[in-house]
Amino acid sequence: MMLNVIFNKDSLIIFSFVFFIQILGLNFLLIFFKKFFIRNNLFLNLSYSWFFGNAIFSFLIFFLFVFKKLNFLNLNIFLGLSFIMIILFIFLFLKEKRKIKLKKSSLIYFIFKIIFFIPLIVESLTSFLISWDSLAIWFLKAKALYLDQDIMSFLKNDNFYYSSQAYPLGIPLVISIYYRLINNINDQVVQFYFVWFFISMSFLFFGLMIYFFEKTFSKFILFLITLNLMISSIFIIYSHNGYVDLQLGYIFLIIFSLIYFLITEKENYFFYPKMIFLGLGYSLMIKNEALPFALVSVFVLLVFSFLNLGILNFFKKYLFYFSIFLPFFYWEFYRRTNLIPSFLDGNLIPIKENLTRLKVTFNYFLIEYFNTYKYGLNLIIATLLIIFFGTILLYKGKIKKLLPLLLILFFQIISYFYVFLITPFPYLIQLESSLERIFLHFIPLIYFLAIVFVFRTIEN
Amino acid sequence: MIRRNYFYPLIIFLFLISFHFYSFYQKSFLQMMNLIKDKKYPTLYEKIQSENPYYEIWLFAKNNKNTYFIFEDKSDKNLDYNTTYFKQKQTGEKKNYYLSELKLKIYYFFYPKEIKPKSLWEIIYVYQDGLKKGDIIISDYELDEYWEKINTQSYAYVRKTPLEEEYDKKFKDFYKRLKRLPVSKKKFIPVNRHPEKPYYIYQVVN
Repeated sequence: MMLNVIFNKDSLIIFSFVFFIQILGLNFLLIFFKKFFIRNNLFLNLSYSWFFGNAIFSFLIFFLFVFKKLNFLNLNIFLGLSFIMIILFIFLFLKEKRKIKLKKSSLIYFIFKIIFFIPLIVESLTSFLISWDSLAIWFLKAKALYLDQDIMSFLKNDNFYYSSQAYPLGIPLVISIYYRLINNINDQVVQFYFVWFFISMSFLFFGLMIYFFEKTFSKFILFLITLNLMISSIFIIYSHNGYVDLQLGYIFLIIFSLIYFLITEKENYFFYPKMIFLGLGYSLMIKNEALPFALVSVFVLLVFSFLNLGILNFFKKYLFYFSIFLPFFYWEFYRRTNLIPSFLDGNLIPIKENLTRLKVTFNYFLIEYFNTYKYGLNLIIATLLIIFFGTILLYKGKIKKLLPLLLILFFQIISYFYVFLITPFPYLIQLESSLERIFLHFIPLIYFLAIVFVFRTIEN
Repeated sequence: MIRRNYFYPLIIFLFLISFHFYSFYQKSFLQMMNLIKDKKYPTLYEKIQSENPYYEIWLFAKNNKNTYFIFEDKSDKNLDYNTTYFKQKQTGEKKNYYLSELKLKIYYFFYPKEIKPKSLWEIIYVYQDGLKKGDIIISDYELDEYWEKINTQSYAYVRKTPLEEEYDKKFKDFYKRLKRLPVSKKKFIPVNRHPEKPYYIYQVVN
């Protein structure tokens, strides 16, 4: 049966699809960020390449969508592109072979990790779609993008108001491309694409652990810590149930880590802002919740550049990269001119009576934060580590470099409070139904901060 | 000086706790594989889908059956604030919009065909004459229950308005044209999911 699940046409195409995005990302890093690629270990490269592969792929299909050329992509074209990508990768890899560190132990841990997550992968291939948002938003839009000549009729249909029509189209577009490749709708196996975000997040954590603690702890212990972070029930459930919140958490984590590297490695200053811009542009194609994150990240970039480069030099060098936000602005313009509604339109100023909501929201957050059933002990331990090692760093006067990260995290959390303050819907219902998903956006950031706080204390 | 090795038992202990819970999911993840092993459906997709609590609805959508949807459960739990808000913004008049899980599934499975929800009253008075043999009616309200109710002896003694009498008569005519189709029992038990509300399927037989 297992073989039947793996070796059928739709499954093989989804594996190729994921593989294609991964290779696209690897090529992208090898061509444009060679130094970064060579410096990284296998797991960091796998994770960053998955991220940038998705970013590049999403931008490309967004342009195809804008110019109404989605029909261009079919299985033959895809196979041709895959072939070119693989050849290009072999060529680039062989060219840099000597410089790339590929340890045997890393390959063994890679295989271990995949074996460990096989049940999850199997489930992602063999589960029917049932969760609310997947059917109400993401997969419904993907279906509309695949079946309809023009998505506008769907977006303007008031029977589908519930589908959050104003949400960006990044994920539904990717799903619809897969449907085009198989020339059918298969909302079961496509969940493998989602689970690969989860696995890539575990690669990222493991890669970061190795990067920071290789000399301090054994790889096996780092491997266990990573698995421990990843197998809390909430991560497992949201890894492939059709929601995109864990995927957004992964995207935030990648950008967050790049901002950390930017702040701490001045010698590589010239390429991190480009990567961050690209990441932020991509995040805005996924979900509206990325907007506060993108805003504060750009603010951090500007302040940092002002201090290090001078703001004029920064704009001279990176002005072009602001164009990465074009898909976001295009989508905002498109939906506003076509009157596609968003519940936040015209509701941005909170009214005085709603201020009492803050206290209730805070209590809900607090209760959720200490929910060990969902998050295990990880979230509590990470918080304690941040407080403890943060205090040490504060006393040593070494915390300054980490303040931008704390600011981003703080701003992101505050933005959720703000939304609950202005929402025109019964906020308690919204709060209860969305809180755990909101947590998925920033829990990885808290884990990352804990790792970095420990590392910097040891280092100093 | 605290040595790093001192942390190892703690890390292993924490991992084992997490793994204990993960192994619970691990088992459930393989549950579907075992269930679909012996199923006789043409595709793997359908084998898996046959364990979906809404499988029958998916099947009607797949076979492009002419389907009507009776949506009666207008409880607060089904109130969709999103849509209500947008409709109010559009017209200035608050009109509640209801969205149940059943409705969500029907909309998803049948897309791009729109199966607009109707009340039982509408079906009986407006659409009954247009029903054809083989048409499908999906309902969140058990018609058999109402049928039994109006056929009890005690109901005969209840005072009814002429309108109510007419409604019951039309309902009886309607009900006699239907055959209830069974919703197959699903063996798959998803983790962390509330059981879905029951729904009822009828086929027009004459």
